[in-house]
Amino acid sequence: MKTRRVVFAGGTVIIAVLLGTGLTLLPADTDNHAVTVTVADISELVLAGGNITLTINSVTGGTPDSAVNTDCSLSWTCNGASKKITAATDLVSPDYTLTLSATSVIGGTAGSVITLDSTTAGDLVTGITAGTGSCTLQYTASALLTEAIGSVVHTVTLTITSV
Amino acid sequence: MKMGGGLALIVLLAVAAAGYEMIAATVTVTGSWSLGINATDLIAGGGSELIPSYTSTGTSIVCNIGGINKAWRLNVHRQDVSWHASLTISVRRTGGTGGSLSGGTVFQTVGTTAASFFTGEGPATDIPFEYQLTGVSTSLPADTYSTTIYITLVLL
Repeated sequence: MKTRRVVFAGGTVIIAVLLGTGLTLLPADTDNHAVTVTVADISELVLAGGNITLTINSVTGGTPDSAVNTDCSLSWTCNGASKKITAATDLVSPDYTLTLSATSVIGGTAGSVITLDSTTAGDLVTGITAGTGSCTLQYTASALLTEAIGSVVHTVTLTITSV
Repeated sequence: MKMGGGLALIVLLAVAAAGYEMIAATVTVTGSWSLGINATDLIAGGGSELIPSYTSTGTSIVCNIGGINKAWRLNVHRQDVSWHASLTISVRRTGGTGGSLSGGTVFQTVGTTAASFFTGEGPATDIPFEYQLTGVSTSLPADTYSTTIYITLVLL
């Protein structure tokens, strides 16, 4: 059997011709552009309830009764985990005792009761997860019979922050 | 047997004739969409969720198709640079001049595989694209998410 060897001097061109039969099925051109979405860190806290007044004006068994107020609440939104809400007063060693705690917490864990007697912030709500949350603020004011009659004004600052 | 230079030249001319239209047809897309999402996009401030859907209204993204006198189709797909599984990007055209444009006027999801967007015949200009982003929520961590949208012209 004879074998004939065919050598295509223009081999590359021949391949192009074969592709040419299907030209209309091939992509003719392509362009592209970018879509970019930048999501910022979101930590939004809203305090509802406004300014409140706690009045101690009764005594039971020789001890002044505490005054409790739950008129205020917090709502928050964040898009990252490991956040917390802290609380601090603007007074150092004020007269009388004012404490704050978070109750009915949704979207986090209630911290321990904070005694508002320094400008050092205490953890009010911890373990805040991404999403929305809320809690009720429970203020409790107490006094001793030995303390003079008077009034104290606290400015309480609540902050949502990264842990 | 050895093919001479004469045959190669004939083949070359055949390729040039057959392929001329493919080389000339072009699709160009100008513009891009950059969206920033922050606390101002909360539905009702702190305690509420983020607005879930955004459109590129007001952003100029325009497509032009030229160098062609026959029927064609545009395909669309995306290639993610850094994307989040909860996000969905959709596209539609909101106009266009010439080219007997057909379809593409309803938002369609842009996936990672090419899909038909709309069709036409001949050159078309000033085809505005509008994008829609859905799936935004506070479960989306703070970050930059980016994808590249590819528009491919296919000759029919």
